[in-house]
Amino acid sequence: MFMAVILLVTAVCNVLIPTENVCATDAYAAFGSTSYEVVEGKEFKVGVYVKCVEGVGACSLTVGYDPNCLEYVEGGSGYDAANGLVFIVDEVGNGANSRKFLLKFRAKTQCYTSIYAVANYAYTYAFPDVILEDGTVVPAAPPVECTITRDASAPITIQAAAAPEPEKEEKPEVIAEETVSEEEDTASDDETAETDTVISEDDNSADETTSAEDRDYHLSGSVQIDIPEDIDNIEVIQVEPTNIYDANPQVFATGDNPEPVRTDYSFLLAIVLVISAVSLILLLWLSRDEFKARKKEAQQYIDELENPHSEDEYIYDLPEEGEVAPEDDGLYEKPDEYYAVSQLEEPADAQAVNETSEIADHDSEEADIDYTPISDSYAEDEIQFVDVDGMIVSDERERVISVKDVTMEFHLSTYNPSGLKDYLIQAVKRKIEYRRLFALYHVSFDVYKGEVVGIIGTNGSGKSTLLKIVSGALRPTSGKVIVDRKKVQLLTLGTGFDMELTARENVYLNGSIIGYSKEFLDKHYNDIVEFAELQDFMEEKVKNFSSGMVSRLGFAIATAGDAAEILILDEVLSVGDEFFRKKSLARIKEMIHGGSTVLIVSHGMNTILDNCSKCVWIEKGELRMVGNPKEVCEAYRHMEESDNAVGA
Amino acid sequence: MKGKFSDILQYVFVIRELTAREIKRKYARSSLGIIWSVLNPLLMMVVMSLIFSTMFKRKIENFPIYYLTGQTIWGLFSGATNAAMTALVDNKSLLIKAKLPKHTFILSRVYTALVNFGYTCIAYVLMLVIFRIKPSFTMLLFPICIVFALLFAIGMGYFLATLYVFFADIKYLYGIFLTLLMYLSAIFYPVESLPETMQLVINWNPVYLQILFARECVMYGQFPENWVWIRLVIWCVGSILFGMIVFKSRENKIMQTI
Repeated sequence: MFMAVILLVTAVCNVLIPTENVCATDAYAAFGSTSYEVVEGKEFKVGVYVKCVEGVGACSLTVGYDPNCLEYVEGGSGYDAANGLVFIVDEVGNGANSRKFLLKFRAKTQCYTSIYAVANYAYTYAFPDVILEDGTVVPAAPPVECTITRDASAPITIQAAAAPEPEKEEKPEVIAEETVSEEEDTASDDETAETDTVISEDDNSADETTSAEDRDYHLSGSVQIDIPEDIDNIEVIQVEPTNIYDANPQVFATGDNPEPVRTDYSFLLAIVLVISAVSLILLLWLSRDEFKARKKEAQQYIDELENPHSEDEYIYDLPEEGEVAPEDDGLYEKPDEYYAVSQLEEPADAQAVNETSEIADHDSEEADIDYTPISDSYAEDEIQFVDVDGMIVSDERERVISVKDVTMEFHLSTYNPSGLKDYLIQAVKRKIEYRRLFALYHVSFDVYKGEVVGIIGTNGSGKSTLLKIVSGALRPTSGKVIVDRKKVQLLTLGTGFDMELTARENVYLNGSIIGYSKEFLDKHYNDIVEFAELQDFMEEKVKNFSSGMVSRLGFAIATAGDAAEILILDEVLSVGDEFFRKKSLARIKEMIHGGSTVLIVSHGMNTILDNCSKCVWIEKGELRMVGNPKEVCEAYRHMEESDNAVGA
Repeated sequence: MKGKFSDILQYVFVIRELTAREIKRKYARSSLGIIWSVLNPLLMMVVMSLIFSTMFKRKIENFPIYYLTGQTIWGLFSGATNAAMTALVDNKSLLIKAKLPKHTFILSRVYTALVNFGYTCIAYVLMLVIFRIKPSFTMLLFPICIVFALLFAIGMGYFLATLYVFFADIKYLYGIFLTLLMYLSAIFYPVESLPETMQLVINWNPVYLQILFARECVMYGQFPENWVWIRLVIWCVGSILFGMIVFKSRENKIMQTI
């Protein structure tokens, strides 16, 4: 906090300091060049400046020269030839931060001399009052007398007329001077730079132009310009801005430099804008087009699926609608070719065909295995299920979850573009491949109130997808799930915890997302902590927890209230230590007694056998069996064993 | 009716919790924490003022406030959209559990940006006092400006979050786009210094319009002109509709892809 105060104070001070500079009213005299080289007998111009950041108003200058070497020609308001003085007086000024006067001298003889300039006085510009649209007059600041800070002097070399030095040699000096003064002045104002770049340099006469090409140089801001060496003549065309805000002196330079120095940047910007807009639109269009194509393909695909034995190369042997599969022995022999590979608007290429045939091979191996059909009593009617005790239960009980003919299809990209460029190229070529994966394929079953249903199946067989569909997180591609979403609570391990937060914060975060209100969480907070046995760790960050602790906390939050009427447990019961496992089982049993319906996904056969009243076996997205846990588990085990046998 | 009300309460509770998490996370490892939300714009203001105030002094009176007004509004927009973009992907695991609509996560990110903006406003108000900006009734319009900014950001957030699920590269593209937009928002330079054609473009820039609105009503004590209002409303409604439509039409696809 203390540091913050210091920083704040520094910040404020720093901000306040520049505002003092605003009031500075320094003025000074200056020459256009640091030195002049002229030829004997010729006339030349010298630029004398009065500079004031606030805008030059009324000012007066005196320029001194050596009358033996130089002869004053014109430019000032008065002169004293005997003493070598030129007087300049301007009653108004121009309001720009630099006022320029052009004096013309003639070089008398070959010699080394110098001129100097002294500012007698300078006032800031008397700006006119600003009249607003509604007629109110805002009075402008009255002119202030500036403090004269320095005088100027410049050496002059007058050369013999016989051997004039080439002009080019002196140029670098001029340019160097110019950039230096620019840098100085940009610190105070951008307009200074604009006017400052104006150089008047003339060896013989201003009218003499040697080149056919004229170019415009628009100089603005603090731009440091490189003037081409070939320039013979730089002349100020317009130095008197009508409005100081638009002060934009144009410097016309004549030269035969073939390359333009500066292009109009607004044009460039416009180009960039257009390019980016076009590329964005292109991107959107591409992705949109692609989604459409995929959707269309998917629709066709589904249509094909619904018409088995079509002329397609894939054959889908489907169970009749609404029929539960296990009735038919032949079901296990049907080729599970739902791992199809397809391409957008292109026939499957060789690789894709290979992949399909591989899958087909695999499945035909599997098809050789003989599965024991389950008891007839179950298979006779869809809505009759075998209870744990072998009793036939009718439809009278309340149906809580009804999964009807659910199919879930995923698109998996088999091609990973290495970058955007690659992606675009592939998208344009329509070569991005998608593998269709049916995570669930026409799955139907019902769950009744108070049932504990175990879901088994090998890894990747679609169990978690089923749970997500039941909980409402996913919507199936086709089919329906009838369930009251508000009653469903999904509990998966290690998800939804933020490692950077403390356990307490996570309880509230996770609880809120699960659907507990703040009051509920406040009330049950202690219960949750107690159940998770994390009393001493609640203010600790979760990232320091062991995975067992995290899952304990997750379990405790999810089962905190008796609010959950339908509890879905995804691989939850097989974690934690033995002690906690027992405790959580007890909690689950408690909830079952309280009327909760539970869906359990587990790989642990014992968990299923011990707790469930019904078992659903899903294999590669298809429903294999529904019924008595003992029988289903046995069939599942059988398949696993034979699989292992085949594998060996 | 009662169920609806408790739903809304729950909605608010979730958004608050999510936002609390975002903020705690953001400053989890820094010692000054949330104070940075106040300090950051101030320090930025100092830096920018040092660099640019002399340059534009003649055209902008009170450069620090001019800049800070632009920067706070800009920070709200860029912060909200940037965070909303990754909202769905970052909360993958929570999305599956949540019973509330999925856009809660996007809204919570925008709300997080708003809370951050609130802290920034502390700095802003402080500076307004220090620089002796005359209080005026038009300052009461400032909240309206924030509403405009939020609505626009929410619409963009929906769109970006959806796009990001399918096309992760958008993150980098958007970074470039934000830079472009920032320079087109006249945060630290006067619009008058640009050529006419560029001014036309900038006058349609939604973020610039928001900044202009804020400057008019806070700095200059003026009622923003009609064209500013009209354009802002067009942008907000358009953005919200566009974002909603994109999000709703892809909602199921999002869950599949994630």
